[in-house]
Amino acid sequence: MGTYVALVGTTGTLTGGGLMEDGTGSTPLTITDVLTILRANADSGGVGSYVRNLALAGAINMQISSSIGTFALDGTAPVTFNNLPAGFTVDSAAIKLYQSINPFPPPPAFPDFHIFSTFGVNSLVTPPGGLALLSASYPSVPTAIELYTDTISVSVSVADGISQTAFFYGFYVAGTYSINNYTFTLTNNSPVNAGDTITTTPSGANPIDPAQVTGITVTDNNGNVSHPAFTGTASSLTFVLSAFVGTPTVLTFSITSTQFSGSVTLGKLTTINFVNAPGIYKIVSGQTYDILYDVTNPGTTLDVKIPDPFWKTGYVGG
Amino acid sequence: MADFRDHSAVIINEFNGLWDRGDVDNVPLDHFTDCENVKFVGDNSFKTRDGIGISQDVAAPLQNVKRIYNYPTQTANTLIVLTYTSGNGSIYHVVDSTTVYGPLLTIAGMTDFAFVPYAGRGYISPFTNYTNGDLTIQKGLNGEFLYVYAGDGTAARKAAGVGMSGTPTAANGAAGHTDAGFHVFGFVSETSSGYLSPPTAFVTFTTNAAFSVSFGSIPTSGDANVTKRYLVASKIITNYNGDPTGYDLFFVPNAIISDNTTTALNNISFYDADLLDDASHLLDNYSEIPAGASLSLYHDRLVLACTYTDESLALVSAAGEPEAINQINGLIIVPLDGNPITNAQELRDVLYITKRARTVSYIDNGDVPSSWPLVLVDNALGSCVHGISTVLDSGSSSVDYLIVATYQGISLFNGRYLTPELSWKIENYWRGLTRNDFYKIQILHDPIGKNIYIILPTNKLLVGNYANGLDPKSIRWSVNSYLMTVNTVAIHNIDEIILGADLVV
Repeated sequence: MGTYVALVGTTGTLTGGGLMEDGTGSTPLTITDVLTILRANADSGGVGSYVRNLALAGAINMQISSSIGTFALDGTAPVTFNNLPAGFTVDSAAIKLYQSINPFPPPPAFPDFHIFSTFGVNSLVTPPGGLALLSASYPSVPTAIELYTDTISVSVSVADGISQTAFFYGFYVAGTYSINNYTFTLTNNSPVNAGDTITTTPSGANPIDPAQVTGITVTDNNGNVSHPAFTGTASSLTFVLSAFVGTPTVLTFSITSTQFSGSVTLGKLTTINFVNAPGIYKIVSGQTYDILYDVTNPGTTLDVKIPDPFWKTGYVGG
Repeated sequence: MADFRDHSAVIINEFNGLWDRGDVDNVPLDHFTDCENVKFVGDNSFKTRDGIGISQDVAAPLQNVKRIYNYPTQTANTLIVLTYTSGNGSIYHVVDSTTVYGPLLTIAGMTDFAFVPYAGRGYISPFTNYTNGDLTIQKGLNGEFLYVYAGDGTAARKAAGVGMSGTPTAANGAAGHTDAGFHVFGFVSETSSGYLSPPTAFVTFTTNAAFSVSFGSIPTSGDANVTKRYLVASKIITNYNGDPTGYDLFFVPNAIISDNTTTALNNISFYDADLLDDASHLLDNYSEIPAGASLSLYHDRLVLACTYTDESLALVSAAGEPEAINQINGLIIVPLDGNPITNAQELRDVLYITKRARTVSYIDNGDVPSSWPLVLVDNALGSCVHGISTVLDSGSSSVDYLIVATYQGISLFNGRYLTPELSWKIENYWRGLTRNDFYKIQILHDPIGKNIYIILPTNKLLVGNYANGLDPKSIRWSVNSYLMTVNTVAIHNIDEIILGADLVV
């Protein structure tokens, strides 16, 4: 477990209404200008150079590039999102947006500041006047992963047509993280065949969100890859094995999600084609499965079910 | 269970294993017409068989395992393993789960081997399959020999050996004593495994009664395994015929060179009356022992049978000297019938030798093996190369019988084959096996677990549980299958069952 700070990136797209200008009055601003300001004053406490949106209601929509946004883990040099360690999972996140509002003329109406994302609207209300720190904690705000996979919008709304000036100083997300906070257990036993339904059971400190699972990958020992459709809940995910390419003997399953970076291996299963496991074995009293040498990955083993035990009685009757 | 309507309940509360005999409709209710991967518990119950685990915990475990033997050493119970890859058979010594020595021996074409442990060493005989018409037979590998392995991880070497070459000198030594007269002298070398070579390096000398004898230019052996050299001598020869090997030679007391480097032996005194330990028999020993398909021990003698050139020949060593096999009187010839010897096993002081459909016996009469009387035991039943059960690490029986895989079935043998055979209940199953594949059968007896394990030509494991009694009626049979091709079984550490699997090509 550790701490991270996620800064806004240096590129993105900027859309929306309102007049954007920097503190010197230079207009218009580009997204780069905006991000530069927000990044430079990431934790400035509301001081430093600023950008401001004048008068009309509008949303500053900033979609931050996932390859550029950076994470600094435990105070070390920042790395890009794509270079986060595999299994990086956000345990907590506080979005900090340093801003202030200068209504002119004075209220009665005060604007609302919102942080939007396609995952849902999160409304944060600021007290009138002065600098304010908007913060919200995970999971009521988008996760750090989501920050870099979806659009984050910061908007100002104005009531009754009264012009307002909103000043934005800094923006970042900080919190704690852990690596691969999820474990998965394949409930099936080897061997498996095409058409079999595979079930995996996740467990971890943070519940797995099936909606954030982006894919299941099945890789056979010959390098063939498939991505079966899946369904699931927080307690299990299921998918159906597609037709084999050739006669693979071992299948490796992995999962990707926006809840963690990289992919996580679910496990391995042998197929019905698995017959080769040469070596020296011993009968283990009381063991309910077989452990075989995995010749496709020397130095490792495979747990397989005992080939279907069966018995048939003689003729019953007469 | 209560009757339902007018149907009477049929209660099955005993499960006595597989029954494959006669018509399937006649299978008793307490037996199975078919079963697989079950294990019998207690008197009447059964469950899923035990799982298997890996035996080696190393980065590169042995693969393509063809044969495993138990190998008891002075310090541990270990395994000798044959693997076969790319046409070469390689033998390894698996000491424990993390320690493997080898390959100790690699021979092209060695698809199987015979093995017997003796005094901490291991004796290895490579063999393979040959065809004789429609038959597949097993014989010693052509051009190969018996090997000895010291058990310490060093490479196995050919057993026996040749004598030294060279001509020493002899002269009077310091004041001493001999029986004055013409003597023939020679030297015998001894290897680290205790093998004594034929006497060679002869020199003749007329000794003087008042002087000892000194020798120089004594040859050393080209075999690095030689650790000692002994002086041998004849008694006084009146009319020497020029052939030093034509006279009885004896070990001279206290005339030992305890290395393979010293070239002088000085001041040896002896009388002819002191010459008691005969060395002449060493002249007729094999200097290299041909490979055979069977190795066993009988009365502290090594028995090697079925060489490539002599299928009905068994070579028997001197007692206590497994590498000393006399080419003249150390031979047993089993009556020729066109079939090779397959196995040999001691039971109650009798040596039983089998062919595929014959069993004979020999009894040690205290004289040389070639004089042992032959008794014909059975003219119809015999065994295959691994078809006689071995028990624990003794390589022999633990009780007063053998368990033998014959064409008739799995039989108890106590000097004769008992009928009905143990496999009476699965007669159809056994007789459905391909006879030409019987060389794949290996039988193992586990008296602690009360199980008999038989590797089948189908690469499955036939298990006979005799917890209810070792008789045809009480034994419970089942078949185990695995995801890999099992082809050998061994037992070590008292009751740990070891399976070996090779690669399916």
